[in-house]
Amino acid sequence: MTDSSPLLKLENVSREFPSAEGDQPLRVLRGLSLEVARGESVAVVGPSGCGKSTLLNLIGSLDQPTGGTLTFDGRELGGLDDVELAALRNREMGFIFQSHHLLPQCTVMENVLVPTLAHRSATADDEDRARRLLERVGLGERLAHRPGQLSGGERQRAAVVRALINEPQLLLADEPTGALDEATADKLGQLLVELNAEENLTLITVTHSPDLAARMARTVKLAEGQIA
Amino acid sequence: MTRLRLILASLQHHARAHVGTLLGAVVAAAVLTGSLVVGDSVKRTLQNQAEQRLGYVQAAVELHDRFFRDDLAVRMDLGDQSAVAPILRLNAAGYRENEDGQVAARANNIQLIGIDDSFWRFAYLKANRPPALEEGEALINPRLAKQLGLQAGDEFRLRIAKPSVLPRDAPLSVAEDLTVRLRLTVVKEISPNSELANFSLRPGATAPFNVFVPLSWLQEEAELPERANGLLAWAAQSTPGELTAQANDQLQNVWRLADAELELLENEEDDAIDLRTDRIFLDAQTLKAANAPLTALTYIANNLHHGTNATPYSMITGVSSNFLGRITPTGDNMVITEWLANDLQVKSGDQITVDYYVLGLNRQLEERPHTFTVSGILDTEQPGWRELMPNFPGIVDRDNLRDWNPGIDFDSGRVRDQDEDYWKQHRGTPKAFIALETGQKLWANRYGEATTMRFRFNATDRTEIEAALREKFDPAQIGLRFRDVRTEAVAGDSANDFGGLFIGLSFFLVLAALILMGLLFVFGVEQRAPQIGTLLAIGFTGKTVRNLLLAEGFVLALLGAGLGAWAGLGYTRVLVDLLNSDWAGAIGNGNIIYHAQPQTVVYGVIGGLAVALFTIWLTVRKLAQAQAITLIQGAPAATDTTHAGRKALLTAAVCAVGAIGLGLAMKDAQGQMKAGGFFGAGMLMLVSCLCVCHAWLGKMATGGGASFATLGAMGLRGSARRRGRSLACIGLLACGVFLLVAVGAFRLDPNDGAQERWSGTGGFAFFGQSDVPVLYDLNTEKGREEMAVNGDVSLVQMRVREGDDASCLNLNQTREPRLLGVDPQQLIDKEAFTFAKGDGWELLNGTDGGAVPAVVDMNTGMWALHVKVGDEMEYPNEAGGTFPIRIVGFLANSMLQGDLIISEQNFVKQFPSASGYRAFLIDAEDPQATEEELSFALEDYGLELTPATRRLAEFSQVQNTYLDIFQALGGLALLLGSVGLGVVVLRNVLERRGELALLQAVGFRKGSLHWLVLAEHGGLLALGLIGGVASALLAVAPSLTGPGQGLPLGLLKWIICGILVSGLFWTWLASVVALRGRLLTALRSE
Repeated sequence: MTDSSPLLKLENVSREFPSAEGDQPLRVLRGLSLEVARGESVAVVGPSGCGKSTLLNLIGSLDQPTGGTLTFDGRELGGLDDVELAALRNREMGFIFQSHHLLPQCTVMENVLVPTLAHRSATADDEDRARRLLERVGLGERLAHRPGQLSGGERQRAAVVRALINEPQLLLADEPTGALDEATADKLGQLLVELNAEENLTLITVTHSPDLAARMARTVKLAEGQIA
Repeated sequence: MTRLRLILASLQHHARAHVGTLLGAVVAAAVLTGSLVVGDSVKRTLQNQAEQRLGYVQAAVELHDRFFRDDLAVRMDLGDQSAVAPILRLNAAGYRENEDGQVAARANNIQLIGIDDSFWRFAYLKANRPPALEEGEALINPRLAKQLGLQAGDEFRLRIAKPSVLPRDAPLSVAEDLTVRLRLTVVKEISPNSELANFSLRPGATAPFNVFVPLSWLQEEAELPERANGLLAWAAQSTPGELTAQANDQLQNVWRLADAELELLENEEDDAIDLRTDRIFLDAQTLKAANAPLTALTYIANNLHHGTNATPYSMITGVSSNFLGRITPTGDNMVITEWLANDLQVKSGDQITVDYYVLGLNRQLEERPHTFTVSGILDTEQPGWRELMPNFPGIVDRDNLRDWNPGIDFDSGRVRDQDEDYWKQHRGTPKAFIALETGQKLWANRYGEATTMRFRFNATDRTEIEAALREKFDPAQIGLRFRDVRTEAVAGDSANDFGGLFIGLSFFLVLAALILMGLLFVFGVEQRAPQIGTLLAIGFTGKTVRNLLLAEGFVLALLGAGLGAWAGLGYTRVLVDLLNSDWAGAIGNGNIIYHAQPQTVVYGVIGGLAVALFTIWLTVRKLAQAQAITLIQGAPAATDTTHAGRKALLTAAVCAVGAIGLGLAMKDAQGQMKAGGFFGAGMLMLVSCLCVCHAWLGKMATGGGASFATLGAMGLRGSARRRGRSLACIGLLACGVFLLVAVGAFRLDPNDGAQERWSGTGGFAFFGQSDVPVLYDLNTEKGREEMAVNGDVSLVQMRVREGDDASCLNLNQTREPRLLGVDPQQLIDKEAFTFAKGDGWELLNGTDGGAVPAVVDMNTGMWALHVKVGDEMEYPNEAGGTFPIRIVGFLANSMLQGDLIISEQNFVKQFPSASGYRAFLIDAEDPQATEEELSFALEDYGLELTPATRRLAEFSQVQNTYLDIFQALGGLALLLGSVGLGVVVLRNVLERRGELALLQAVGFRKGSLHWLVLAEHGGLLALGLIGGVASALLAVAPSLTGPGQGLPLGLLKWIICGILVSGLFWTWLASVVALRGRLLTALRSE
């Protein structure tokens, strides 16, 4: 793919959920089309229930659309099987959730390296990169700590590093600051923007926070399953 | 960072959550290993018993009703480092008197064994010298010492059936002096381990009662000079199989005619050599092997008469065609001697009627006449004629005819002076000759069809005759054949696989432990659902995540299996202790030794690991298919309940139809197949019930289209939230109830209808066994008179061919069960016993396919002999070969366990030498009086009477004890099941604390919340109970009609009550624990 081609392209994507017997299915996304360029940072905003998280899940291949096509880096996701999708998520994408979902049994360093285990063991290069990234986000002194010994902001920063360990092209963040206080949320927002630039990442974040949305290059507003 | 590191870190972090899983795996592996090691223990016990009873014995000859010369052992040479020993083994009854001369203790069925020094070569002697033994002295084994209270120096008495070379049932044998009394002094109680105290060639439920005496002394006392009836063989360099083949080859070369009770008598006066036997009658095999030119059959005529003239007690000889040359009679012609012609005043062409006795099956004499036409008159005596009379006991050695004491009614008053003179001058010279064929038609019997075979001197000589006979006659035909008694015995194979049996008995305990383990593991995994979702989101495939969880489970399962195997050894020790005490009834009061084979423990570990891992795989297999985002959100994966519900209902319908179909198909099946079929039908019904529950829960989960109006209905809706858990609870409880109820229905009550003919006692009051055979029919006045029995008795007499005890009391594998010969008509007339399969005692008269029809108790058939109706088995006969026995019927829960029953007619055909009756089914209106009368009259016969209900109870005890074991282990399992229910309740309530707090916030009292939880889980309890009971009733339906069986209403009541109370207790306890404290705090934390 050329650098000028969009990293992500959604064409007429819809997502319906089955309802109780006899009722109409619940239509969350209705023929949504969107393109995201490489290195772009996009905030997806909108009221609760408008389909923000559903959209993010579809982009992240955690869910499949019931209509339309979704192309990532020139590959149509609908044509990939589960194993290929898992590999795609592992190598090309990074996820940050509202809750950090770090493994409590692992140290910060180990948590960051977990994505490398999906298809192989962690290498020395992986460990170097993890250490560098953790130092970059201010967790250089916390490598051997477990999630339970970290603050909320530190956990979320560790989760960010975990998302970056495999050098993904796309970083997906679902309400990354939703569980944080204002100051911590602010710092995390700043970090995401810096990483977007430093790592040449494409960043899509779903948020209710106007401050975080304002840090992104583009804001997409959803209403009733469509771009408003 | 590696996956292994990730797995180990998870294990360490979730250690507390894994404790429950680990414990479940430990219990499952412990029970599996423990059960398998019980099998090892039984095997080692049987091996020890075999070593104790056989010593070094590898092969043995064992004759039942015949004897051979004891020097046969000396004639055998099996090479260096070998031994052959003769023994004379007789049945005996014994007692010890106290100082007042009263009987202080008794023992029946004692093995009295005559031994010489060579016997000790078979013992694992620790001392340099074998125990010394003089005439009148005895060595006894510990069991007999204990029974009779004997120690060294004590005196005791034995009574033995006086052996006879001539079978007691044979015509003209003497039925007097049937027993011999012996007074013995104990030299020593010998050791079972080093001195062969428990010597026996057959495996038994318990050690035998053994008395060892000098062989020569016993031969003298039993009037069996130089005779033996057993040979033991051992060779250091050979395997038992090789030795048996070698010994049999050699036997063929070294045996002599005397070993078959045959003798060649030279009669120089007549230039003849006669082949005769002390058994009087030469059997068909001997006749065929000898192939002599002249054959004769001599018999006693009670009376020869012509008109009013009569001659008493004369010998008549049937002779082959060339015996008398041209004038040899044919058909009904008779050639008489001059003396007889004069005595009866007859001439050629006159008719003479011969009256003679034939002996019935139980020595009933029947006098029959036969008329002959005189076709010639010869000299009164010619050379070689008087030798035609065989050595009839009570006749041959008498100087006077009036002193005869033959085995038939003899009236000395009929003997005239001229008869006495004839006896003095001509002894047993026949007075008449008839055709051999006619004689055989009248007097041939199961013992033989000739009394003499005659060879001519000029044609051959004695050596040639003997050589020819030995070449053609196979000594195996009279039972002179070694058999390998060791290989099978020391293999320690039991009648049933006890390891498998205990796994079966513990099945539900294992299942309960596994379900509990699975539940706890899945709870742990569910708590980690968001983490699992994250792994899926960051690129782990479902398979990788499942393998990570399985790897964790593997470590837990391996650890659990290892610890469980170790704990299983303790479990075995407990089981072995119980089998030797409270559960002794299950193994016939044997003494099980604890023994564990390392490879069995390894099998236990592998088995425990496999079942635990499989359970874990079942629990995680679907988790990995769940959507990452769903798991991240911590919610259970939503399923299409409508579709699942339809599938469940379809499965339920298929299973129900299958259950009904299988039930109908198995209606006419038999034995194990029928029991298995109905159990299978019950299981299908159980699955059907569970599927219905599954569908119902699915409907409830979606609300079923209706809103709830009561708190109870709301609770029931709640039970559908986690269908897997709810179903696991229902399944666990239903399986437990199913098994306990189903198994309970097989409990036998020996007193159920004990007086009735259809019951397991056959309506008889006693089962009697004697050491000395009773030769007469005690149902007849004559028989009672002969046996000095006063008053009427009604009984069924049975012939006995000793064999292995094939009852459930014997743990050993049995090949040759004891054989009983009975007159089927007596049992038909009495309509005794119930047939589980087969159409009654008439079957014993059948001749289908040439096999001998046999009836056997169903338990013996199924569990000891492993046969079903229609099967054939080969059984050794007296002639050294085998004959086919076909199982034609199974008796239901009878006191005739352990024996094969055939018709008396077939019995005597196969075992002509087995005399009299030794087993009795006795009716009694006044049991005490009958017992006293028979015990007194048959004291010398060593009669042991066992009340029929007690005998049946002993057999029933085996089955009932196994049921006790099953129910005890099942009870433990149900306890685990109840704990499982409690765990599920606790988990469910803890998960929903916020929801319950909300209910409290909107006005519900805590009591109402408890009621809600109880209603929710009480419904599961009720469903489990209903499903289990309904399925169990279907499974046991065919078994409820057997004697002593019925629906165990009492048990059913207790099981249901117990499970209800236990289930409600755990539910209540769990709800109390989960709802304690301030619920509203949970609401705030939501």
